[in-house]
Amino acid sequence: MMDPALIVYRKELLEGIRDRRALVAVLISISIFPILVLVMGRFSEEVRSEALDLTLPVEGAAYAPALVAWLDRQPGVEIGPAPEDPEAAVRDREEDVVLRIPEEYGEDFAEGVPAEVELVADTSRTGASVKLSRVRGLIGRYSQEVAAMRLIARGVSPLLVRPVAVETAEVFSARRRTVFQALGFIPMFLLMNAFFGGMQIAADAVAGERERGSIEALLVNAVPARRLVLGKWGAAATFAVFLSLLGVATCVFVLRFMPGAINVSPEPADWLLVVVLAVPLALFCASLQVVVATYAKSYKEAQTYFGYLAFIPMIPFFAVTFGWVEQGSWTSFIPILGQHLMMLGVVAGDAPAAWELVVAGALALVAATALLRFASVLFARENVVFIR
Amino acid sequence: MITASGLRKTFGEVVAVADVGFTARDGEVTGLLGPNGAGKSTTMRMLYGLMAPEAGSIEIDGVDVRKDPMGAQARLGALPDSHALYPRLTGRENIRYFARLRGIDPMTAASRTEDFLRLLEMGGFVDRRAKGYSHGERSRVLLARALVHDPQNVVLDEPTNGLDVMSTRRMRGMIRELRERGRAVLFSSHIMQEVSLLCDRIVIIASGRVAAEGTPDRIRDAAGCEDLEEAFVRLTGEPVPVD
Repeated sequence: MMDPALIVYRKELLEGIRDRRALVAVLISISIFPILVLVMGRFSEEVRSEALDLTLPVEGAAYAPALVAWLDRQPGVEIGPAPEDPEAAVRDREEDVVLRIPEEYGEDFAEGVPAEVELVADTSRTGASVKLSRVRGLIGRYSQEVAAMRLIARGVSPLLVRPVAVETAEVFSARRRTVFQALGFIPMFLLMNAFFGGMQIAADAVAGERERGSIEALLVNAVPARRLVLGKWGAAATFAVFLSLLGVATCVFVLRFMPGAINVSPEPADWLLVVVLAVPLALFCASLQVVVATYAKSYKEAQTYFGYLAFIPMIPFFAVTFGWVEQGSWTSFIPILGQHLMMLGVVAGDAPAAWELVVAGALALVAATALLRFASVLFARENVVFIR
Repeated sequence: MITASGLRKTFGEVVAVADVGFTARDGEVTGLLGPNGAGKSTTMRMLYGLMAPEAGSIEIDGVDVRKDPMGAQARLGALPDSHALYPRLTGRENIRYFARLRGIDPMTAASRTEDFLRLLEMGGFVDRRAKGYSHGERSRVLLARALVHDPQNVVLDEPTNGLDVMSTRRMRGMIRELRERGRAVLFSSHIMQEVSLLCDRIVIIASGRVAAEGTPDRIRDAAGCEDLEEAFVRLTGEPVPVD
């Protein structure tokens, strides 16, 4: 005799496949990442190219011809005419940064007194602050060059005035920086897939069964409620896993065929680790949804609850951003949070240890099982079966 | 055989079933008759083990429903009052699903389904999705689904409710056939005429208690009137309409 859980599983899967709403969920959730990457890639490219090709309006260029000529010689820098009112032009976003050279510049420069120049900018704007720091760096370099010349003219080694040399050793590799900026969305995207995948089935097979009243006839078939719940969970979990894998495939595809957007992507072995993380995550999400759907009296009510649950994928995103959780600490074993963190680690080239993967996966499965048991107890309760 | 005794069930302040007991014997049709809200459905739900009685006991072929609900359900076929099929499955798939859950192998399930197709004349719609079924079509699939494992005891909660003449006749034919095959059939109704047509024994329930029990003749005697409908009205304590 076939296990009743398997019979329920096959039936719910069949109904799920025939449900058009499930298909729509699949289409929506797999298209999130490509859209996100396209938008983000376009955005960050714009910022970077604007910063590289710098047109710098200069007010009072005539007071510092040497400085202006030096700036003009720098690659990617073009000197432009200053607007009438630099402050107003910056405020109105017509210009990002304007260099203002006062009349006293030449006099101060000749006397060896620090000659002041002014940068007019709005630092609250991302694009502007990138430009501002570039211009500031350029003028700083010019200043150093002049200083070195002056010292040499006086017979002093310029090295003498640099007793301590500061170099920033960048631990954050270029690869990791790119990854953190753009690939950081992959874990959230996969988490959303795990969430959306089983949603329709959980709502229909559990809450819908209650709403229609078919639960009554189902429960008189001499099959224990836990076998029924297991079968329903299995169908929801299958969809969640399927959508998660589809999500991983989408990521691989997008990163490969949109090189303009992001030019660094994880290795095939990394993707395998992502899958290892995504599967227990999907199983856990399905359990959570089955429990929530058991509380719902109708398909619609379940959908409403799932709407609130959809905020859960946001939590790890912020938790990681604000540093509430860290890889390697106990927080990385909390289901959902841990998977998110480790996926982030994997795509950022900082894969977690094998034992960490195993422990996090096992904990997610234990939690999933506990939730499922709870759902089984609820499912056959009188007030669940008969209150509609 | 179904034996119930001293059943009681309350929902907060409301006493749905105060004290109900009866026996539904093999080879007999037993009718649970009572006005709406008398406690028929609650009694039925306790029979198939979905509601736990606060007092009393139920045995199905000697198996205690509370101690061994799965064992009792295995001897029971039930048609609950919620007439719901799975809308995205065909009628045939709905029947097969329950057959498989009951542990019947695919071959037997298929041949039983064929039997029901002939018996209940379902050929015209059984391979269509259940979503678009008429009331009559749905009720036939529901009946086949409830009986597909050929249970010794059959419990039907208001089986003819809302059915047209032809469907009601089909249902009656099915109930008579079950009796001929020695099954214990218990069905609930609030329609006197139907009960008197089919039943060997009648249990009249009013306000959660058994008002009368016995053969139609005994019920007539107990109420002291010739007409069964009149007897029902007297025994359930409802006001007699004045013509």
